[in-house]
Amino acid sequence: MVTLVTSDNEKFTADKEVAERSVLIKNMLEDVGESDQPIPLPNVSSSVLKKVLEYCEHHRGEPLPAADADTTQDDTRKRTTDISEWDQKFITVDQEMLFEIILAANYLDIKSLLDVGCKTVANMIKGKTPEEIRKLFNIVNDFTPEEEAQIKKENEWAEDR
Amino acid sequence: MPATLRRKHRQDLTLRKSFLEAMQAKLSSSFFLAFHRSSEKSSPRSSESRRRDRIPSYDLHYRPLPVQHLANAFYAPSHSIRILPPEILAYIFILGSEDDPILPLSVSHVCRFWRSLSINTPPLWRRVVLGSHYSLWRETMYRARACTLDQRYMHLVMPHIRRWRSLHIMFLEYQPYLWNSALSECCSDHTRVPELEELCLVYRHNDDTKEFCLFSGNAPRLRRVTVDGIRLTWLPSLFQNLTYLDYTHHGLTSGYHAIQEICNILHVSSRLVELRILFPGKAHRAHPANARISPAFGTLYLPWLKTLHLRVESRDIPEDLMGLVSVFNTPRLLELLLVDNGTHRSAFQSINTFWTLYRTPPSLRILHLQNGWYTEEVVMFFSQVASLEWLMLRRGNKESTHWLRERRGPTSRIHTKLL
Repeated sequence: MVTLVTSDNEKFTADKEVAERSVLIKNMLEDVGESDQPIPLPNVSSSVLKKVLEYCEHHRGEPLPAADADTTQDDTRKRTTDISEWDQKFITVDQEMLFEIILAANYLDIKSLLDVGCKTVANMIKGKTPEEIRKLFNIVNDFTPEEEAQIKKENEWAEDR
Repeated sequence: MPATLRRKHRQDLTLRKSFLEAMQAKLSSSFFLAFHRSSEKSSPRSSESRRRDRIPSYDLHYRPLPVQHLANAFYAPSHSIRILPPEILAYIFILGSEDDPILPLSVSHVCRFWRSLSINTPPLWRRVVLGSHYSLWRETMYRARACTLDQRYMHLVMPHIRRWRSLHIMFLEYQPYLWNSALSECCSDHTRVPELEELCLVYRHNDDTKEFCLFSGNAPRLRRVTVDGIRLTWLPSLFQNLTYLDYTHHGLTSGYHAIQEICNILHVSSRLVELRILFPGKAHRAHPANARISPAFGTLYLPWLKTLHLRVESRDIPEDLMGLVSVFNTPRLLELLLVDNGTHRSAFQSINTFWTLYRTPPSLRILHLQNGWYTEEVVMFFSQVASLEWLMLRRGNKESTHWLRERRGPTSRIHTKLL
């Protein structure tokens, strides 16, 4: 078992196999060697770590992406925004939590979870107009009049297609 | 020193790959880190966001180009998505643009920061799905910079054929000689596609028996191919390096000739890692007496194959499919997906014949059984196979996933769930 300590000082215990789905934790455990000492995760809060461990527990035993999968592009894998049913239910959270999970997955180096989070945000954006996207994420339109004119021109081009 | 970092034994100083990647990412992304921190000065959550800032320790396949005016852009204080680093946001844009070709334009019209970020992310603009408007096409090509291109419109982009990264052509309605019109320029002697990695040619209604020899017989970087309703000259110089093949048989041949044709294809593309096969025509009933036609073809050795999809759209398993898989030798196969695109609640009539012809390799770890492929006997049998780790079952709308490594025995629980 591995003990993890969150930014708000809460302790979580998890099977080593589950915790090691995080490349960061895996490397830390390898560096430290056999030890009962808790692993501090100062960039992850307890509510987020709880979700992350739920994800890792569900995907326990599944093959991890190869260490060099990011640098040498995996030929057989095509990028899509498809998300499995369980992952979809898992990631159905409010926006704040969604972005926190993405950040935690990035920090903990859990590629598959990062992909699930990013695909979810991509699916939220897909098919929406700029105005709808602004509303969705509470973004302020801060374009200058010159930029607005250029955007208008681009819209005309797009409508002509 | 924190106790957790104190070593119990002495280790030689070595630089791990993860450490090197983290340092590399930190250095190359320092601009974005600086930008984020400066932008957070106006944010009420700046201290928390600063604490959470971390540069990814791995490459997300691209990095947005750092340009001067990007530094002048900033998020509005109310921006709820602001805690994401720019490279992750750009990655999200790219993922979205795979399915929504208009997305690059949409996100570039949201706010100044998103515009700067999207315009300076060339992979976002590599998909060219354009009509006749030259201005937008030219602007898209400009924003793609040196990026290779994903092409969807032939006549506009033929002059850029050397930059093609992927080519997708799909026809949904019947017109005579469509392939001839669409591919004529791709078949000329001077055509070169040095960057082409992916090819997708789909026209199920094709009735033209012509065989096409593409790209002067040479595509050195081609790795992924999807073909449905077309005959191609399967030259080693074109297809020997494939790692992914989604093959739907064109239906112009059947029986012995169809199996022979596909065997020849797979002999050439023997480096496949993932293979999907579909015989879309009507099913021929398999008779045990004539189904084992494999001796005529010997063994088909696919040493690198890890994932095999066998798809059925008909009411029963096509005899050609059974004949084909009976010659497979796939020593590294990890995942077998037996997919039934119909909604049959009863098992295929030929299911027993299939299992007598096809031998699952000992390397198999994951098995999917859908609809007509699903029988109690098969589930019972595979749940006892020691090497199998995952069993994924689907019947109609019901589906279940079973992790087998830690429990062997309560198989009744598995199959009763779907009955």
